[in-house]
Amino acid sequence: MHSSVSNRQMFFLLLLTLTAYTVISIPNVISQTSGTGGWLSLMITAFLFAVFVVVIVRLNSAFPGMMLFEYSQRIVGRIMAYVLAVYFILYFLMISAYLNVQLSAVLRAGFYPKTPQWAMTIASAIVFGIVAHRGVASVARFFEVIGTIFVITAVATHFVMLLQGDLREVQPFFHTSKLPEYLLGVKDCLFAFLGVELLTIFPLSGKSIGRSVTTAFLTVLFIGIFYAFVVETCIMMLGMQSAQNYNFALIEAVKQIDNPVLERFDILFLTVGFAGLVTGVCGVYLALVEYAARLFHKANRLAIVVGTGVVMASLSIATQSIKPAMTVLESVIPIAGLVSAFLIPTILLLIAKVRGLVQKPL
Amino acid sequence: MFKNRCKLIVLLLLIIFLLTGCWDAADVSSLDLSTMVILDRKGDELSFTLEIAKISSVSGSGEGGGGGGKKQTYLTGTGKDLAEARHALDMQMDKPLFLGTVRALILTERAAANDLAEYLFRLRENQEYRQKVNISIIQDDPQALTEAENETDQPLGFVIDDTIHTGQANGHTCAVTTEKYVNDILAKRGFIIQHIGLADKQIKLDGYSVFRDAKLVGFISMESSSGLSYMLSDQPIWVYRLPGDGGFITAEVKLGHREIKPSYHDGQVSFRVQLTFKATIQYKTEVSLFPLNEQNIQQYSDDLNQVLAQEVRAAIEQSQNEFQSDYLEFGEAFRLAYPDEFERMDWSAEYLKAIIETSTSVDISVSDKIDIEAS
Repeated sequence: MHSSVSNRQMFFLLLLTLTAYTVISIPNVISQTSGTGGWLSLMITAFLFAVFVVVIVRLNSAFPGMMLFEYSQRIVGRIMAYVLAVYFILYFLMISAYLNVQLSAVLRAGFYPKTPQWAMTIASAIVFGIVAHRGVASVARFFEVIGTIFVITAVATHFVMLLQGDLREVQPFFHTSKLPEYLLGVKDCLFAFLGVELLTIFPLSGKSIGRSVTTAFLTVLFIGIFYAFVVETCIMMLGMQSAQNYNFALIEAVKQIDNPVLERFDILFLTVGFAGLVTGVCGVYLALVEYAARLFHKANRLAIVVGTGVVMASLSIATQSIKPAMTVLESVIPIAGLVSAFLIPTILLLIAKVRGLVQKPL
Repeated sequence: MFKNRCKLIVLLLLIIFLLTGCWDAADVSSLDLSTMVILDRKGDELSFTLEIAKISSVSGSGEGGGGGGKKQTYLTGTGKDLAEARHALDMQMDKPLFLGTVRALILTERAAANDLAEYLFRLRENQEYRQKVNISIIQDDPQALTEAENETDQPLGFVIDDTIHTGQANGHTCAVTTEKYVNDILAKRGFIIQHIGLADKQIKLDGYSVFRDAKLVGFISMESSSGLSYMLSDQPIWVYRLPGDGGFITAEVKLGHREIKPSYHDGQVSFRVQLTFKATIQYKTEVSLFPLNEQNIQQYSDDLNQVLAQEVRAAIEQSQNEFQSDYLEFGEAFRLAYPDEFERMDWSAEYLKAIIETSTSVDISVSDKIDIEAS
């Protein structure tokens, strides 16, 4: 693996992966936990994950052109590298099943009530597979194109919501007596920032490490601000009480926009917003393919892509049919996510430093 | 080359299946397009009356109501609850019903008295409806409403929706979205809903229905709703004709600024409401034209200020004493200033005891078109 991603591509990778599904549900989560001070919970969590992402980027930059599986062989040896790869495959399988179930649930609840979820899962798995087959560099460019459209459309849409919503619904912005609730709300915001571990599959060039680290740090803070903007404007449109009642609050809020030019403003979600969601899942699919390709390095890439798709779609359909499976995923993913996003990269970085494998940034 | 072509063909085939129109496509003429839904209650029975637009000569079954030469037909389904009433309707449909075209939801006062919350929750769950659809209350029987007339014989749902939008654009109504009502119900707040009526078989915005605990508790006529609109609307506009300069002077009044300052001392909730109005003198009676001098303009301004202050005070007293419902949203102003205290108190009880002082001022001018010094 010699190709690497640019800082701009890293920005869109993080943005689309992190916001893939969460951006739809986060207003509901925040309205139930932190209320009007939800922006603070989000920004605290953003700061935490910004630190996590700095660790990953620093690690990636220390081994230019390599992904985690490759440099972990040099840091902790071949066997541990395989163990880590298996762990990441299992983790990304859980994430992909979770995202696929939510993706089809969003489509079913908001747009296609008659289409069976399994049909949507299979159709989308084929699309994700075609994208993931192209490899890391192509997917990074794909993220860049879709990401630009996504950011412009999302900011414009939420700006309109800011103008049309009721500001009182998100006030008071801060209240001292609620500080414990804001801090406890961080726990519920963790889900929103899981996805930074996807960077472990995207090699960096290793040039201007300082700039890469700064970009990654600021990107996660930007995502925190983006989430806060989305949450506040959605609650302004729906009202605090209503936002607590909608699983997919973003879509319901977008439907409330009054625009004489575009009557069905939610069509923007079906196009641009959904493209962002698809791109995010493509990133997870790609992560699965990349780790699987390292484990089965003699296998044909197409076979790995198809095999991954079959496993992913089967797991997603099984999760849809077995109700407790989703509850299990929701309780396991945050813990497994923290291990993937923070614990593993931190331990690897520390060992690499101790062994003198990491040089000071230029 | 061959491989690329194969990929392209697979992709194109996939796109065909992903296109929304190709799977469950239904021609518009094969659907019954509903433009208005009326919910009524008679004793233990609820009924849905649907207005269905005729889009072709063969559309609409016409059973159960009016029709004739009109461009729309009406169907009614009755049952012990909302689901049963809908089921009864479905049993009459000759084509699948499409609710995405509904422009007006109407509840009779009988239905609004107790069934509004359940109906709105049902509406929220139903993805077929436009979520921005207008909701109104009527006093009349649904049958009377279906006999309303308009010059272009448009579906009544469209006429009602357009009338409400025109009222809003002209600054005469303070209607809000259905979602806002749901939020108010969940937050246990009082609220008002646009009331419509018939005047010589013509649709007319005639006032507001007042709700407390999601139940209908009263009616405010449009003629006596100026104080209410000054408290709630963004840009209310009213015209006043008061005695002045030996005759009557007419002025257009707009709300310039509204400020509600809450305070809380020794367990007593108080508010200070400050309203600034901008009035423009337009014309006067009597054969003589102007002049109006500074003195009689000031006198007119003072008189107008008194009238406006009285209207606002009356609106507040009516909400506290007659309807005992905080539809004027004082609770929100208090919550923002005293969030902890608000959480601890029973606001609906506290509001009735709140001391509310009002002060108004009028910034008066004469229409730019008129030379007030002309004699």
